[in-house]
Amino acid sequence: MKIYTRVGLTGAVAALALAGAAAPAVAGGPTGTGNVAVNSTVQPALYLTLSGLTPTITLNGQAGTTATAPGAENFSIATNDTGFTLTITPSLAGLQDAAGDVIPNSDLSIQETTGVSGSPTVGFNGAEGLTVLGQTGLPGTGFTDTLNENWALAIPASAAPDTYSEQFTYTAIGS
Amino acid sequence: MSGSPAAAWALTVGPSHLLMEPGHTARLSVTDSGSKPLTVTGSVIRVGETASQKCVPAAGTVTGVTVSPAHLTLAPGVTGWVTVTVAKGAPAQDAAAVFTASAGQGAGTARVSGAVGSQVVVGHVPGCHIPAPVAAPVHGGAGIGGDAGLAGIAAVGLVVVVAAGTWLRKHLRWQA
Repeated sequence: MKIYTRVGLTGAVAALALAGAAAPAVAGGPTGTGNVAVNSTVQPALYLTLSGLTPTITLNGQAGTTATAPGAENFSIATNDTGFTLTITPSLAGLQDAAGDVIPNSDLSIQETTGVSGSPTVGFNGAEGLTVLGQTGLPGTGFTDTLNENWALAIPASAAPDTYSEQFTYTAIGS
Repeated sequence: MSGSPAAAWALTVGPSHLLMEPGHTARLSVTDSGSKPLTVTGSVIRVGETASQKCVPAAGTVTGVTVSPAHLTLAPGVTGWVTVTVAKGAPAQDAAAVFTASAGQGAGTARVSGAVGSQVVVGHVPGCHIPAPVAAPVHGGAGIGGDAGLAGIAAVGLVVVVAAGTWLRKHLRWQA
């Protein structure tokens, strides 16, 4: 009888110790507001990385000509997931200058010279996103796509001389 | 993720897709894998299909899926943690938690931002390419109870081992 009493106490202590050890893992998730940043030493099981984007692309030319920027972007997408898509989304329907003049996005085109089969040249349609790459059936063990892009703008003959600009977002989504 | 020098701008998200149910939360890591600080904005967008592509940003709203915090400031090599929450009663839908950062300042015709997204599939197997459920760090409403249950099972197992050892020592001593 004494044996079982002693074992019972030992077991209770062990159970408490294990419960205490498990508790931080359960409560450790960041659920508050504001910034939560810690140094990371562990890679997530499945990751997706977009890297190497050039901050700005400049297209210079006269009205009625086509301005080009060869190699405007050269970037990579790396993942150990089995698929992803890459979409370029304009913020507006066209490039704008300070006076509100617009060069429609349909005058803008992109050619993927590496990373996409056939090196297609594709154009924007208004503010719609342009999906330039979709990968499925990847091995799931680590894969990197490197894309090199040429940009071109057919400047309308009627465009007023000025500086036109717009924001573009490259979005890679795992799947 | 390779051993090559870090690009100036690089952003990583993980896990890169999640399968979730209403009432569940999950944790995503967002890492500045480049060599300059990033200000990151989190958002949730709809994901759908076009005639030629699956799992691409789509028009439409997402109901009951949120990310918190919505803003992170990351130094190179630093990971921020973001909680994805699917509200109870949220409909089945394909969404993505997307994290966006400017690629840098400067004048130019096109100013570029980059974003990485983790597809968030709520409540059903989507048309997008996901071959099988994955071991995403999903914690449901019963997650605490589930973890406590595992701890309890482990504790009971330890008790049994201790009891057996103690009983055997005592028993052998008696025999000696």
